[in-house]
Amino acid sequence: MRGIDKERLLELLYLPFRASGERPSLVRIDRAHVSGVSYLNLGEAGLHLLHDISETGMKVKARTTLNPCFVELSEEGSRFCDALTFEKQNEIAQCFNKMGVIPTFSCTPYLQGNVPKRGEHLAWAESSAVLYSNSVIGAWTNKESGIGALAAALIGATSRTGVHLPEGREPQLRIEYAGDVDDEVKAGALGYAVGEASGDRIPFVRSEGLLVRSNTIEFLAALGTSGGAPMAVIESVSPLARRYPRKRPTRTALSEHDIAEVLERFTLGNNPEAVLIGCPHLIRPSVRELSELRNRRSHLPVYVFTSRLTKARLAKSNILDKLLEDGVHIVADACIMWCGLKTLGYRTVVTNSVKGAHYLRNQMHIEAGLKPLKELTRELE
Amino acid sequence: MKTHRVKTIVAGGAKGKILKSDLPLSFLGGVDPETGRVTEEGHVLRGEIIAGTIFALPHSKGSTVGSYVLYSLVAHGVAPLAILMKKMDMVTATGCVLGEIPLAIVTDKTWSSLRNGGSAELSATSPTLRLSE
Repeated sequence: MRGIDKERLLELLYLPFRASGERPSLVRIDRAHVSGVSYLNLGEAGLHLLHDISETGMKVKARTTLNPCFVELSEEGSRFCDALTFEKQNEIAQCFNKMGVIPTFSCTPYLQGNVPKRGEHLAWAESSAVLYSNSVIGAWTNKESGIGALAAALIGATSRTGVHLPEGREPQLRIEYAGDVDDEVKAGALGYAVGEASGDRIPFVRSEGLLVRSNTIEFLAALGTSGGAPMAVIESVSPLARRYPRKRPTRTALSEHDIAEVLERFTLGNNPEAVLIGCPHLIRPSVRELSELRNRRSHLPVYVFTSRLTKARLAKSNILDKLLEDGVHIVADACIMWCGLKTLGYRTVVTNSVKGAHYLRNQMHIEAGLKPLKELTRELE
Repeated sequence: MKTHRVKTIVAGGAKGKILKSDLPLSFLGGVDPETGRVTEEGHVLRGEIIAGTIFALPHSKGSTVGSYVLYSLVAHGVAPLAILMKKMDMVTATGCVLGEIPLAIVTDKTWSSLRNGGSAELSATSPTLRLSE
């Protein structure tokens, strides 16, 4: 295969124009966020590619942050992972470091580390972050591939196409859903159903439950899992949502039955061995949330996935040891697709994230069930 | 054989049997990068091997890391010969550029004439696709 150089990276940015036949045009980006950081996803081939890019000596030209990886990159983290994988993950981190990428290792840059402003142009990968930035903040980013976002960061610009154009941000179908969205799991299931119904079209959605931020986050993460669109227009949440006409040519009705059908796919046949929380990363776990997890009397260990910054803040408040005594582990840098799950031999887990459950099942082959946080804590009391 | 015009995204010739899905697929978590087998639970192509086929899918979905999966498929020698899509998406296109997998966009009409198991030949020199009757 051909080697990698600046010309090759530019070629990636010009790709959409080959499809549209339009004259290529780039837009300068304010921020970038790169996915394709986990050794689980990159594999040896991906690592070599990143290594080749880092060897070109190119540096990122906009504030660029990193998605989570497969391990916690600390001494504590190395205990949950085999030595070779840990070493490979460190090599990947070094490649990004060489390019000047900020090692945030979090999938929620919109909450911490790389918070965009409305109207900014971004080159973001990580589907859930793309959806949040467009749909809630009103920043503009296509759903870049991990490598495409990196190319854009190194060039300082991306293709002026898709949702970088006002006409590309119009919803293409209206989802009619009258049912309740009373917790984050239902929000995720709705997002998953909407993604399946809308494919790569931008959906217009309204639901009171989506006004709650934790629900919005899970809704969009699941929508990005089953669908291809880079944004949704959510009434009372998305900037300019009111400006879009109420009558859309295509309407699709979803019912509570569709939500139940999604949830059914995640039914557990066995008892869960662990509770996983933080897909996307739980960035501001409230003291109440964490104490509720602590106060339970079950033997199920709980793993909370978050950023290194959040873990460091929790460490400062001396809460980590107390949590650990009660079986609550705070894992930084990694996402729910964490090396430790294999090392510890978990075969059945429960989570409050539809996106997390989907990938745990399909990529890690771990049986993953769903329960909202409030039920998890109540049931475990 | 009937000739159809396509839009070339990544140039290259390929000749083989069509493997078609009318449902989108996420390459990450949907295809095993070492064997080319479709692994997504509940997917119509689950268990099928995309290696060595002319792989037709409407568009991809899900993870933005799918490009690396395509790149890994090439590295393991289990990539499709070419990919045909109804609509280009960046995740698939980026992976095809890096892995040098021929990629073409077909019209809705051509899409409906793609038959699973049928023969297809993507031209290396012109934006055309020949399909067996």
